[in-house]
Amino acid sequence: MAERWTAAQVNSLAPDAASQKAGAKLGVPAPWSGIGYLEDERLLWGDCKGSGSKPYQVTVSVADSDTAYQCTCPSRKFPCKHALGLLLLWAAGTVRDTEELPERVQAWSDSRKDRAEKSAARSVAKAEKAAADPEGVAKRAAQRAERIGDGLADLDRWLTDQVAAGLSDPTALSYGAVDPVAKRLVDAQASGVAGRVRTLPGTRSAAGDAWPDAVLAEFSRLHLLCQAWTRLAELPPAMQDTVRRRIGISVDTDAVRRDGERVAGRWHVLGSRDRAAEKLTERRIWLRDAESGRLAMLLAFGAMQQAPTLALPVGAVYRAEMAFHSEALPLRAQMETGEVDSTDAALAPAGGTLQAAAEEFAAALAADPWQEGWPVVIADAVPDRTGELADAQGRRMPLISEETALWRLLAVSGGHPVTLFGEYTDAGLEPLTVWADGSVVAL
Amino acid sequence: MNETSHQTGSEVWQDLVSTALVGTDRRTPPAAGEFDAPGDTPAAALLSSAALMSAWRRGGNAGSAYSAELVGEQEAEAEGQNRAAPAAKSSALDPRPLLSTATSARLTALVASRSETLPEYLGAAAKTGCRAPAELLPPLFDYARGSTAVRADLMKLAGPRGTWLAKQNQQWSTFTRYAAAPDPEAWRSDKPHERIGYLTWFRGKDPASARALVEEAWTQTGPGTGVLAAETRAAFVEALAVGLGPEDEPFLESALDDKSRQVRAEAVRLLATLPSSRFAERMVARLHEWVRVSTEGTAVLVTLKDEPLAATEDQIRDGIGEGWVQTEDERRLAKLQPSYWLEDLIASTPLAAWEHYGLSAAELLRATAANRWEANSCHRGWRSATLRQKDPVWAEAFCAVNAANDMLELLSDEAAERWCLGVVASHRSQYSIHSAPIILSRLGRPWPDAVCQALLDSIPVYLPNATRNDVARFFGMDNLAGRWMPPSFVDAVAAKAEEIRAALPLWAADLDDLAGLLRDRALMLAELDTV
Repeated sequence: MAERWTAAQVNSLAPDAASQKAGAKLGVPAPWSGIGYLEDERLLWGDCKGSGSKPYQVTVSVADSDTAYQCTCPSRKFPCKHALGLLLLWAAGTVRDTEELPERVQAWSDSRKDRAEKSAARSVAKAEKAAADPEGVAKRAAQRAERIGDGLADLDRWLTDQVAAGLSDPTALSYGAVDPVAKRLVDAQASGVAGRVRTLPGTRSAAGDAWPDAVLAEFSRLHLLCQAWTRLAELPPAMQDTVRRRIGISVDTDAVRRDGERVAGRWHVLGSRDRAAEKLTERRIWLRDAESGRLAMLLAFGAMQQAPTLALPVGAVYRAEMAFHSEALPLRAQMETGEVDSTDAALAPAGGTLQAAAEEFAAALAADPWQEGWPVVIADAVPDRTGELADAQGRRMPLISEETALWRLLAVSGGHPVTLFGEYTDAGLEPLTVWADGSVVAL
Repeated sequence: MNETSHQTGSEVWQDLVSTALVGTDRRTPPAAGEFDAPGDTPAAALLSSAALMSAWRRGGNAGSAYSAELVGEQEAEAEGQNRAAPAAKSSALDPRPLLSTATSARLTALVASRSETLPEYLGAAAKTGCRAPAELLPPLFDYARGSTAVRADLMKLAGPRGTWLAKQNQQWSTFTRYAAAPDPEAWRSDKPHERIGYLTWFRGKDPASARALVEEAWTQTGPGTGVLAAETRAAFVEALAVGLGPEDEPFLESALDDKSRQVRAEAVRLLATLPSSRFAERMVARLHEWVRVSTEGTAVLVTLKDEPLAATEDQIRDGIGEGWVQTEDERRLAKLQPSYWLEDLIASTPLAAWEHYGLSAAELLRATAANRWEANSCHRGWRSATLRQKDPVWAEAFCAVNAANDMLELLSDEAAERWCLGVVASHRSQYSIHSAPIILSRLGRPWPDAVCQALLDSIPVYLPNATRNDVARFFGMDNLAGRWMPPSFVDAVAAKAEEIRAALPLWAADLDDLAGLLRDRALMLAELDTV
């Protein structure tokens, strides 16, 4: 049986800081009436008094992998402050369990179930349609491959032209020079590569004096991708899938569910990170199987001003089956079936040294040279106020994060060794979760 | 990877980068070690080589760049720049239990929303004998940067972890002075604020030994120890305000000979609050010698007996003619102005000396209002004296004329209640009743029960035709009433709402909101009691 969330978890759902603040103000009983919670359905509801004469009616589904909100307020933020306030009340234990659903909540729940069924039916129909017309599917795929091939050949020419003429030309990587290249790649349906090309001017300005190293490294990775596409058939199948994903061909999640490698285990939620991508919020959640040590990364997206609906409490353990995407470096997965096994969040996962982390990262790069970082758990790690981390062997590593996260980490450690989860990159370690003194803190 | 290949790899990469900068049209790219770089053109071959070498660099970078040897060098360098703290590297253990999950969640929400009830909640949480979760300290510290009033409660709640953390960040480092038990090492720190923090705390525990520390620091002016800056010495004297007693007089009297004006100013300030000090006796004698107080009907005249007096050395030593004004120019001018002489004299003289003239503080303040320049000097002097000597009687007299926050802080509980009731009574007109809560909130402490009752009573009587705006303003911006009424008043507020609902629905609705707020606060505080 799933537990109620923590306030920190609720806050992680907020689409932005302003909503979090507004939600916190509503996380007190005063403006609320008619609140209730039905454990079996994981449904939560209440009426919030606003500035108008009619209270706003809020309904939240708090199922772990299927969070959903509804509110009668006109806010375009999602979830709105009313939903957040209600969740905070619930997290604080102020909402009592109820046996019956109010009519409106029942209706909302029914319509959601209805929609889910219809959507499942649609995807089945789509799969059937594809199965019925294999020639048409193959033809469309070939057309797309051709477009991508043309786009990448175009990009490779641009890259080699730059290198032939010399990268020292300051206008070569201006936004105006790079944007048309990226636009052509979007037209060629290679959105993944287009995104990388768009970041080139930023890469150049962020690297400071080392910009020639940073730009050449990114150029070479793009070139590698273009080359890989021309020789796709020669690559091992898993590497083919990696190249396709890096180029921007999206993965069919139904296919992963059907054909992906299945791994059942006790999955420990190590950490979670949100990043604003183009018009989207991208959330990554990392888990590790307690027995085998196998790592998995779940990816979820939220549209503009919305938080991703997937929210797993950091530190919890799920008895679950993962379906892994086919990759040269298998990490991305989908959680297929799962229930909370333990919410003893304070139990720190086993961790290694910075040396071991460096070796794991190098091995990851060897398997997939486009990989940005690698999830690692460091045991007996001591952060300091200069923004570095030392491990038990005395090795050090710069920490890369926002100032507030670094101070929280420092506060939790107090100069004592802690267990730290983060993403290891060649520039430093991004801390995401810390275990200390019998508690777990998401940074 | 052996040493030679490491060298070669780095050199190959550098070569690749410099060739790419110049352009392969002008320079032939190097080969990537033993590998044949695939590519139809020199540029494509260079990019292929670079792909290999950049993966090699990234894979090797993080693990090898930060060796243990490098750590030693960095620390030495850091200490050279005075960055590393000489104090303990890790925080001491806090044996107290953690605040309950519900309380921590509440605290998280309150600090995230910068709630107006946070100070009250922090105060109540500090009394539970529990410690706050460490991850909450950074946001709470950032909040406390803008709110001095919560610092003592916060540092109590934060415990040794908080003291340790505050030292790590320049912006929080002054909080250590509020710590329950500062590290004795702090007195040997090279940071003045840490020494002052320790001294202030120690003075509260053992005034005599703390004074001995200051006297010792005074003599430490030899080579090597360095001379204490005037600012620091002044702050040391200021710290003696805690637990000040007659035993401190000899030291303070000697501080009057200090070469720093700042130090003398602090000594004068403290000595004036010791009525039995030689300094106080000298000032009282001067007052009676120079000042004439006479009455004309209801008016009181305070005048100087003679025109300006030659500044004798004794007078200058006691701060006469210093003119406690800000700029150097004004001060030079001040020495020539009798008005400043009078002000200095009054500011540094025990207020009790005025009892000699048979007039109360209130009478003196009221009656001298229309006097000549002397009245102005008197008012400024009395004001300084009241604040310095923290005199509650004079503060109440001042509040009756003009309630400034610094004066309100000095009021006793009874005087505060009298003042509040006065505010409510004097705002009983339709046009000014809504200002009452705003004025009352200046008090900076919960409103006495009698005052809350008086406020509620005034509602239907004085504002029968109130608009929604009037009603909202009555309860003040930012829920002033909700914040400053004691939560125990919730039943009285609810009862009042019911009583007037039919006749005054607008008022009743706002009273409902107020009751809701009070209920929330009561609930939050009750959560703490169950810990």
